[in-house]
Parts: sequence; C-alpha cells; structure tokens
Amino acid sequence: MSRRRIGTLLPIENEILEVALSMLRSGRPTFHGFGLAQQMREQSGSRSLTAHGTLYKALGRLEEFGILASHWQEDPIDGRPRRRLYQLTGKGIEVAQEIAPGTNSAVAPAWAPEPI
Amino acid sequence: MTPERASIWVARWVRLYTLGLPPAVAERRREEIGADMGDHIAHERSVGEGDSRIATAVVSRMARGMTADVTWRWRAQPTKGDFMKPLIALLVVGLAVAAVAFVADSPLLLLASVAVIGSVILGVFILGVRAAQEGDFVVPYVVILGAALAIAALAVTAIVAGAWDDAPGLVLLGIVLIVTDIVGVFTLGLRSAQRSN
Repeated sequence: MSRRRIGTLLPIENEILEVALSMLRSGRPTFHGFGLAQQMREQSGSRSLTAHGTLYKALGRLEEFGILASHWQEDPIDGRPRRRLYQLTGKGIEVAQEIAPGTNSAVAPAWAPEPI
Repeated sequence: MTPERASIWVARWVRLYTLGLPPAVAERRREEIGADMGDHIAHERSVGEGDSRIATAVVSRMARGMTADVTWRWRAQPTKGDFMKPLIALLVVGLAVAAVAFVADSPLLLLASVAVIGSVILGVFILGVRAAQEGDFVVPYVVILGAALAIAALAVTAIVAGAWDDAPGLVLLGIVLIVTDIVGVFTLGLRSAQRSN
C-alpha cells in the first residue's frame, strides 16, 4: 500500500478552493456550507449538491491544513440555526491561486499540506 | 416524505456517527449540518421545488456522504490499541486446533478451527479497510485482487465443504466471507480510484 502523495489535494478540495477563490474575487470573502455546495453545483453544472459528509470532511481537512479558517455566524437570521462561516487564509489564497484555472501555474501545485 | 421528515432522518444519522466524540466536535458537526439542511430546504422552496423532490435531495446528500461520514468519524477519534497481536494469537490458536482436529479426525474441532481462522482473516481484512480509510492509502489493484481472491477461495472452500459434510455453519461462514469480500473490495477499490484521480 502506498500513502497518498504529499503535496496533492483531493479533487473535491481543489474544487472547494477554486469556488472559494471565485467567491472572494466577487466580493464574498466568507461562505457557509450550503452556499458553497450551491456554488459548486453551479460551476460544475451538476444536478445534485455535494453530499454532507463529503463536503464537511473536505472543509475540515482544509481547515486542518491552515488553508481555510472558520467561525460561527454571530447573528443568525430569523431564528435559523447559526452557520459556520469559512474563509480562505493568506496561505489558502496562495494555494487556490496556484490551482485555479487561468492562472500562470501549468502544473499541479507543489504544496505540502501538513496539519496544524 | 416531507423535507422536515427527511431532515429528522439526517439529524438521527449525524447523532449516530458523532456519538462518543468530544462534545465540541460532535456539536459542531450537528449544528453545521442542521444549518445546511435549513438553508437547503429554504432555498429549494424559494425556487418553487416540490416537497418530495426536496426531501429526496436531502436524503440523497446524506446517503452519498455516508462513507465520508464514517471515515471522518474514524479520523476524529480513532480506536486505540494494537489489534494485530491478538489477531496473530488467534490465528495460532486456530492453526493449533486445526492440527488437533486433523490428528484426532474430529469434524467438530475442524469446524471450530475453520471458524477461528476465518474470523482472523475477516478481522485482518476489516482492519485493512479501516487503515486504508484512516490513512488515506492508495491500495494497488494487485493487492486488492490478491486479498479478494484469497478470501473468495476460502469462502468457496467453506461452502463446498459445508454442503458436502452437511454443515450449515461452514456454509454460513462461507457466505459471510463472500459478502465481506465484496463489500471490502468495493470500498477499497472505490477509495483507491478516488485517491488516484
């Protein structure tokens, strides 16, 4: 058995970073789980939303790697459950820019995720 | 089914797989998915989607993410301890019982030894699957194929021997091994394919 190569992100993690970067560029620096799933569905043209388990596991991993940071929403709207809000960290922006299409990077990001 | 009913099922599943985790970790996951479902249902209703379609979508998101939920749970709080030593000890016991059964020509002892050795192989296989999930392993296909064939061979032997000797226990063991084989290969193969992408 060989361990997953260090320096690579899973496709779902790449997709999250691409969407997070495009949201940041459009003036929405923070996002929540459902909002992200919705954007991912729109950008990929998929019919279904990313599964809960897949989405939140990937978000947790990206947070462990220091690529995303998160905090609870302070004022939930209309008595709804509070959302966990995520945003790209400085390191996350760098990584996302490396993997995002249309950037100068032609190769896979040579970035080694180490849990913090 | 209404979307609210579907979200109750999802909440039950989340409670189940977060049981025993540190309260802060469990509560965060429950709240996040609760908020997600609330947003999901509200959004779909706002665009005029029917309740049954919304409920199906909510349940589908739960079902498609179950493997990830289980592996997340395992990563969040892996089981402690070295399982290999007791398994090896059990294998030695099984082989010893098999040797005694062979010398004493006892079908009952032989059945017991097959059950013990089968349990060991099953245990190792399950541990392998869990280790692969926990450690993000990419399993070479030849390893999956080798393990699958070995277990399938044992299962077929057990079923044939059980049918021949009219021993339903052996047949049952064979069936359990085949089911585990299929589930294990599917899980490992699927995850390997995902990791390789």
